[in-house]
Amino acid sequence: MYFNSAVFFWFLGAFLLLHFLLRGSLAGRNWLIVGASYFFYGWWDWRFLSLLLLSSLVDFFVGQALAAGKPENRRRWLGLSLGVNLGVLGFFKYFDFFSESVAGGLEALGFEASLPLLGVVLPVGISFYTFQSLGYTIDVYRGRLRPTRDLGAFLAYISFFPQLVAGPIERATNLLPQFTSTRPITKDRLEAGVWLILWGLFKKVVIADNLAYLVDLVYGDGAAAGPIVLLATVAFGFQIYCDFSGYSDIARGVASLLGVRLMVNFNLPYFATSPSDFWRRWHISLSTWFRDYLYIPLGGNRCSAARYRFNLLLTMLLAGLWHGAGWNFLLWGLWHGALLGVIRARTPEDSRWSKGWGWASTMALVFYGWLLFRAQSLEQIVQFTWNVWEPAVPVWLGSYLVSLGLFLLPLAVIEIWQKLAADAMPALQLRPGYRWAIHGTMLYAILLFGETRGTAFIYFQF
Amino acid sequence: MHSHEYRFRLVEGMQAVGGPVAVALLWAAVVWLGAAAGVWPSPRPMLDVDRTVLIRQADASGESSSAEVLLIGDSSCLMNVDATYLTARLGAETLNLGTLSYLDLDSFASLLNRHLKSRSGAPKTVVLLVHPDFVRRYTSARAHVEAWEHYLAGRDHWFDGTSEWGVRRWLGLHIVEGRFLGRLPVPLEGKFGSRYGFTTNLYRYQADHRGSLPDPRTLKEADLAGDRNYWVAPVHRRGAAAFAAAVPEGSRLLTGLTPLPESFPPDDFAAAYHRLLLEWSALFEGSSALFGLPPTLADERFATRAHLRPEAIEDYTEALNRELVAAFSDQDG
Repeated sequence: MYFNSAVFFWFLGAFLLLHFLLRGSLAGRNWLIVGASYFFYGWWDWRFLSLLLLSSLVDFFVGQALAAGKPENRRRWLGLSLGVNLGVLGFFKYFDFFSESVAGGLEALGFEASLPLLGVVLPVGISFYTFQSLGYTIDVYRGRLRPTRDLGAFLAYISFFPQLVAGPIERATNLLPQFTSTRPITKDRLEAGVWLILWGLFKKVVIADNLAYLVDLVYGDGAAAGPIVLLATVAFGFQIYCDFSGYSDIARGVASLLGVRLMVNFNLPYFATSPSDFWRRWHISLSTWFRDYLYIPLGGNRCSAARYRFNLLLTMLLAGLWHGAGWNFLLWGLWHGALLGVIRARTPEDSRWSKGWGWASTMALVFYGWLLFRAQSLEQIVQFTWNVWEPAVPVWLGSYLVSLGLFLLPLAVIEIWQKLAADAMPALQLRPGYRWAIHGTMLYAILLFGETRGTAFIYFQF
Repeated sequence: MHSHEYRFRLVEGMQAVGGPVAVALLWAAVVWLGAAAGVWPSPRPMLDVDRTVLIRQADASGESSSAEVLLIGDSSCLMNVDATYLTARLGAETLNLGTLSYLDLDSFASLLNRHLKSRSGAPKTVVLLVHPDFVRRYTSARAHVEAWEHYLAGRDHWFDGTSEWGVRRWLGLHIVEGRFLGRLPVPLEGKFGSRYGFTTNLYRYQADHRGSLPDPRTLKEADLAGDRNYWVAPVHRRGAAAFAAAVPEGSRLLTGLTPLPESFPPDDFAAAYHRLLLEWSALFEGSSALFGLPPTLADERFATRAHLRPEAIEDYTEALNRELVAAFSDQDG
């Protein structure tokens, strides 16, 4: 059930009605959220509900045990949570990748190797809810959070359908308390919800889905060469941004209609002036998760320069691997680890030239990273990296530029507006008539480009 | 609606949701009114390969032409014959008006009539070239036929098949698509995208190549599945009469069947092909059949069951050329 499908809006309408009828009953609403979220998740494949329930129950009871058990057993309880969560994730997501990689490595060394492949289906959103659930256990272990005894609230926290399958990866310190207290739905939240849903859908349906055709045109053709490779990589950078940030915005918008505040996941990342600035703006819920639960425990930057760079490389390598079991994701993570290590965060300089140079060089490096991310094979990475300098120009280059420009124009207009207004929802400051005009125009464009059955979001595969 | 949880008034809730919906409906009204008043440009829904080819061939049929040889038919006519090569070999200007979609013979007749109205004098020869799959097919694709008829009539196209289409039509989305988006370059999917890029480039390619369009795909195993027997579906009888009637006096109508991959039909297909062509040709009064065209070719020469790969087109066009030269000499004799 995609956010951009007609069936989701039928589901949401029915859910909002039941949510309204249960006003005054916090527990009733939490269990409604749990039921609806399991229904929402089971729409893809009901068999994987057991994994979601297993992960939730293990961490709920581990949380209880960490608070009530003997201090000397705390590490064991944490180990149990880590083992179960990462074990399930590793089995479903990485087993075949490692098996194939080991077999490939052995064959390269001259040994004949035939390791088993499971060919299991990857449960949608498993990386997201696993990390969210793990974050709770670690916070309880560190004493930053008191474990909840409210099973309904905890299950709602793990399975909350707006962000279940593609984030933001919420922190228990932010989201869990919202399920244990009244969640007021104000006029401001309602209007913010409408803006976020419409702008998120616009980014997904109008921009990302159309850019996808432009990207596939080049990345689907192994022989592409010349500046068109560059343009397709730019198109992909914006496609993945609009696809993923669109999902996050819709998730935040739907949550807002329920009185729930989800964290901001993207903050104008293509305005970043350094790689570290980029990671403060891109997939914030994941980058802060890795920062807090991996990078800082490794020693962060309070160590030798070599150790600091190692910490960055390891963290980003694992962040890359989090995205998918593939060498291109590993390379992408390493690339960003190297960028963060080499181009250390500097204090912002005032001169426009240095900011301009910082922005241009950061974008060039970040977009090269998207080539690593999108490529279908290591061969394609090598081929496209070299082919981009060839003077080949397809006859349809002009059409490509026109199409790319047309779909990027509305994004540029809105984001420059957001940047100048220093407000992610600048339309909400307008008088109602103007606001409705913008919202209504976005709605008409969404209907124009949308398909009732919806199209998949890129990050669902992670 | 004031409560400890809902802290807004009902009217405020209605405005937050209803305001944008009202504006979207206003857009729908503006779109419909603009179309009714003739303010918007005419419909031109070049949104995919099929509709681009339909529109290109409709436009080509409406342009003034002095083509002596006119090729009309299904996608195998469009994609298996190189009209530029044929022009050079025959020494007679050739125009390929083959279409990609599942149209019927009535549509081919309307294409021919439209072409004849736009030119002075009649072509020397009209070649109707279709695939054996076309011959045995009982129905055409209604969506394609309607798209064709709506374009020729200058009407906005919608396919009245699903409730989704009903809502889209009601909102005037088909008008925006057909009159505005269809004029922009739309990227093509799959192999057609890699080869031709965008709808506008595909259109230009056909215009530059006398209407012909090679198929860039590769034959898949699934293309070789299905019924291996061939017959002439009686449903073509009425359309064949209309088509034959559209051929002007002084023009000769030749009918031919395009080849199948050799591993697809039964072993004795050559005889069956001969009978099929004889029966097919008999539907078109006054026509002659092109018996010398190959009934089958090696599988590796095909892009699909009906379309040849680009590198096989020249050989096939040469075979057609020989048939036409023979037919012309018969005529002259």
